[in-house]
Amino acid sequence: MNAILELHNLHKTFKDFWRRPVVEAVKGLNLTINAGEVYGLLGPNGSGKSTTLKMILGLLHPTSGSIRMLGATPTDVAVKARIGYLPEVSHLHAFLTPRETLHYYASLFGLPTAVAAQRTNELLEMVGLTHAADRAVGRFSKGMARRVGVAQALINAPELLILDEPTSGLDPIGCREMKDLVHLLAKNGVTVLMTSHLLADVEDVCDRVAILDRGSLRAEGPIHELLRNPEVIRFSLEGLSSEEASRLREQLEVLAKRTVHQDYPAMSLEAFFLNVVNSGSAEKPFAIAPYLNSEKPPA
Amino acid sequence: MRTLRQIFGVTLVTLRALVRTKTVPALTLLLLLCVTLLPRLITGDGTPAGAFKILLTYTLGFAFGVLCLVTLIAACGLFAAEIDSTRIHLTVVKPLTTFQLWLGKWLALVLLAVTLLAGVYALVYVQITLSMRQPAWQEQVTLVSRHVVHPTLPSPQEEARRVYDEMKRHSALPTNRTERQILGTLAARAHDRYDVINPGESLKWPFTFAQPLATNSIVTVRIRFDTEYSTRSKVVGGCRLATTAQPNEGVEVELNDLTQNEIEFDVDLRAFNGIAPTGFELAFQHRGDPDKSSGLMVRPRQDVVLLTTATSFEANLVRALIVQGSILALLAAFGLMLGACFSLPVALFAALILLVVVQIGDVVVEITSDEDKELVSNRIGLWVSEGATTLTAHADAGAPLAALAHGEVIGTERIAQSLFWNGGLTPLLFALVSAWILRRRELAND
Amino acid sequence: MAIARATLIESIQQPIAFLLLYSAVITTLLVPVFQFHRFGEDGRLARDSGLSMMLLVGLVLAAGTAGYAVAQEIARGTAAAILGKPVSRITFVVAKWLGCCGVLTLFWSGLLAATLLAERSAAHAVMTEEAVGHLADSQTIILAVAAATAATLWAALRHYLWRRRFGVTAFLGIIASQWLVVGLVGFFTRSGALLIAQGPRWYNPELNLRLLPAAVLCLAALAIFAALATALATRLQTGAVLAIALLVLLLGLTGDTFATHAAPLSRRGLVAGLMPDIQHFWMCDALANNGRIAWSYVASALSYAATSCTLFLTAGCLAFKERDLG
Repeated sequence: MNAILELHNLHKTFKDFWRRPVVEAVKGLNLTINAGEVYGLLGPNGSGKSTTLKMILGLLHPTSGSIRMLGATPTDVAVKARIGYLPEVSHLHAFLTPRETLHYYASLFGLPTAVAAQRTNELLEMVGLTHAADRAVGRFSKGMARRVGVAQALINAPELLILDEPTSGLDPIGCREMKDLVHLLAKNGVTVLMTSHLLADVEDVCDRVAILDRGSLRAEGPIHELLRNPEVIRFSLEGLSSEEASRLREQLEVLAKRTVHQDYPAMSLEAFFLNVVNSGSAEKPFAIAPYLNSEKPPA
Repeated sequence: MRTLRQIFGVTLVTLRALVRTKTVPALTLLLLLCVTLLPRLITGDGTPAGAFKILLTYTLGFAFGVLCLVTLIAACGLFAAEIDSTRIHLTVVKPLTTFQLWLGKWLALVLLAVTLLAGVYALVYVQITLSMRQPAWQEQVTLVSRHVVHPTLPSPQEEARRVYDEMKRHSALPTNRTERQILGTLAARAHDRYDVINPGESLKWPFTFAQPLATNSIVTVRIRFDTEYSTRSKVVGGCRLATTAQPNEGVEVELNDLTQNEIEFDVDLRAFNGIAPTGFELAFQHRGDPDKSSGLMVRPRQDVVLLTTATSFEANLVRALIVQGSILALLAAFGLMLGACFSLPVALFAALILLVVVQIGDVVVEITSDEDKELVSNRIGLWVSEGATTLTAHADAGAPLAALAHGEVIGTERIAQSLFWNGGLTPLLFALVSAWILRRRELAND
Repeated sequence: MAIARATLIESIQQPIAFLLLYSAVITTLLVPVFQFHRFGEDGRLARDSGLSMMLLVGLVLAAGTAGYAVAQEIARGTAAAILGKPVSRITFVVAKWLGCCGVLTLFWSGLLAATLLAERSAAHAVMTEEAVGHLADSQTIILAVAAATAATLWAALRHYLWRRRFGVTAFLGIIASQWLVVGLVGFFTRSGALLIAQGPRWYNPELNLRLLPAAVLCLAALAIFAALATALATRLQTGAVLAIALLVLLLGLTGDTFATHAAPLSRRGLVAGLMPDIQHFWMCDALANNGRIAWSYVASALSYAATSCTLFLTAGCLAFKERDLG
């Protein structure tokens, strides 16, 4: 598989005013992220997730080690044209409207005016801010500002999308739409690197995850493999009555010579919430911006 | 094209920031108040000529001072505030260099500052134009800009060398000074040297023009006298302007004025019978009463000039605007550099301290006497002041407002020098330093 | 008091507080070193410079402290967190003002010490058998400058060795160092000799204590500016607060230009009435030629200051009462 992002023996030590080491935030991190996958970076507070992201983006300089991103280093200006970034807290220009914000960031990518205008309209439609397109961002709620942040991260149709706590500040519908977006982007060949504290969200969208703790990598791999418990086998059966289920359980216990547990799987709270909210509503389903929807075969 | 689009994008957002965060509206209001109220508060000597000078020096000067301060403060804030608030993260992860980012912000500041300055100039010009409708103004005020020609004398350095050699011949050189120090002192003295004209005596000053003057043009003689104790005394005498080709035939004007006034009179060159002169000789004879009048003093290098028509007053206003605009560009660049290096309060503090040191430096260098230089402590202060003055020598394009008020043209060379140093080279240096620092800074290290 | 204390510590921790104090102290101390003009009176330049530093730099510090303590806390959301506790908005505003006054008092005390030292060190006329002329006390100046610098270096060392906050240590250290030097100089004459070697008297600081009432008046003026800045900062950002405070200082110092012959209820009269008359607090000239400022005058000026502070704080509380913090 084609590696989009490679971290080799990455170290980051924060120093004080006297250049003395204070905190070793990242210790010898080795990661490889392949093209087209959705990669989750997890860890408790202070584990080095955000520090790692900021080093990848060039906002911090590694103490040692190397980063290769799309074949270049993070300080390479040209490679930044191919990445999109959503920070944990979107500090936008409070006096700009969403339309002006997106035009501004589009101009930083050197996009022609017509292209910028078209993408701006599509993105505002996608994030549901068309009605507030000409209101100053400073008057937005946290969730609305977050949506503007998402839009600006996608203005350049990036190949690598870096999301720091993407669902932070979003309501459950917004969270679902964000996850759908990530799925759709991945389907279109975009590589996504995200961090999140909401493990259910990570489980929903990520192909592979890495777990950091105190700056070191503790676990890494495809999510279904990491979460698989080889000690337990589960069979799912539909349409059985309670009597039939009990008889089946007794027979299994005789065959397997061990206790068999029986329960009824429940839907997730998110699914229940969305069912309740969306039932009877004429809201159209989430749709990605057309310009992001080009079919890109995975590398 | 892409690069231009990127830089323009930054410029546009910066302009929006300055306008929508009420900086520009507040500043515009302040400048408007300044331009309309100051001439009413400061009336000078009450004459139209005085009011004219007030408009050009105090009003324009105060407005320019306010613009300088606000430009510097805004420049310090542009980077510092963005870095402190982490808004800059979303910008630096985009494909533009720190140099482009700096340039975009600088262009926005310069555009805004120069536009506001142009507005101030326009308002002052409107006030002058409206005042010129009054007969009193028409009598006393002439909207001209003129070339200034000083007497053709040896340079202060040449004169200093001559005096030095003379002193050396007579073994009169001070022993506790180096040759360089002595020559420097002598050159300064030569520049400010007074010639004394006692009653009954006369003095002549030669003038040379690079090009012959038009035979139908007007030459203005401007001369300023003083006395030994700077007292007000009568100036009674005859001034004669003649060409070097015909020194005995000239135009004579009787003077009856006071010392410390700038005495001006016009000479029509048609009086010289169609000759297109390149050389003149100005002579003054003191005809005061020897018993009652004291000697008159004149600094030949400063107080005696010939003025010829150069360009229109309006064109000179534009030249002054360009020169002052270039200073604003320099301050914007300097402020941006400080904002890239430090947090906002520290950047502002450093900017204002350096501004004060530079402003005071000129005055300190000027007023320090030789005796004051004896003390070690004063020498340290003088050394700092001289350093600041030297470093900013090119930035100071030499009082364009004083030239405007005196009706003197601001030369093309001065404009070019100002644009090169203040609008070009120095901002470029600041830009490179800022870009380097921004690249090395860990912008996410909060 | 907890809010005031927190405001005080957070404000003096800022690098700008240390920079302002250090530069004001050093500038005041170095004024007597430059011998350009003496105005014909020993120490006057040093005294006037010190007092004007107190007022002008103090005003900048007041605006900056209020801006940081109030405006930025509102913007950051810290104010909302405090007001979520059983703390009323009035208490918040008053506490912020008290914290601001605390910072200014500390600053003022440091600068007062520096001014006393600067005036003592300024060139004074000497006529003895050995010498006739003007003599400056370089020893005191060197000691005072070295003490301020040493305090800064000590703060840096504490930060390096024990990671103590540099800003707080440096700020308090400079103030303490100046008062230490004030105490020490009493053992020496102005020509630098040990006092006890000259005669029976072993301690004589030779400080111009007539300066104290003038300095107290400056402190009262700073308290007014602190109240004004705190009130403004409930609605405006730091830059606007500083600009308005400077304008008030300018108008306050030229108050009689507006008030002269102005009817009380005229526009000019109202402006003159509402604007704090800073001329009440700027009494440098009264100290010239060995003049004194009566403490009874200081008392009446303090009551004027108290009234002004109350007025501004009331306005600030009213402005803050309806301010949305979310």
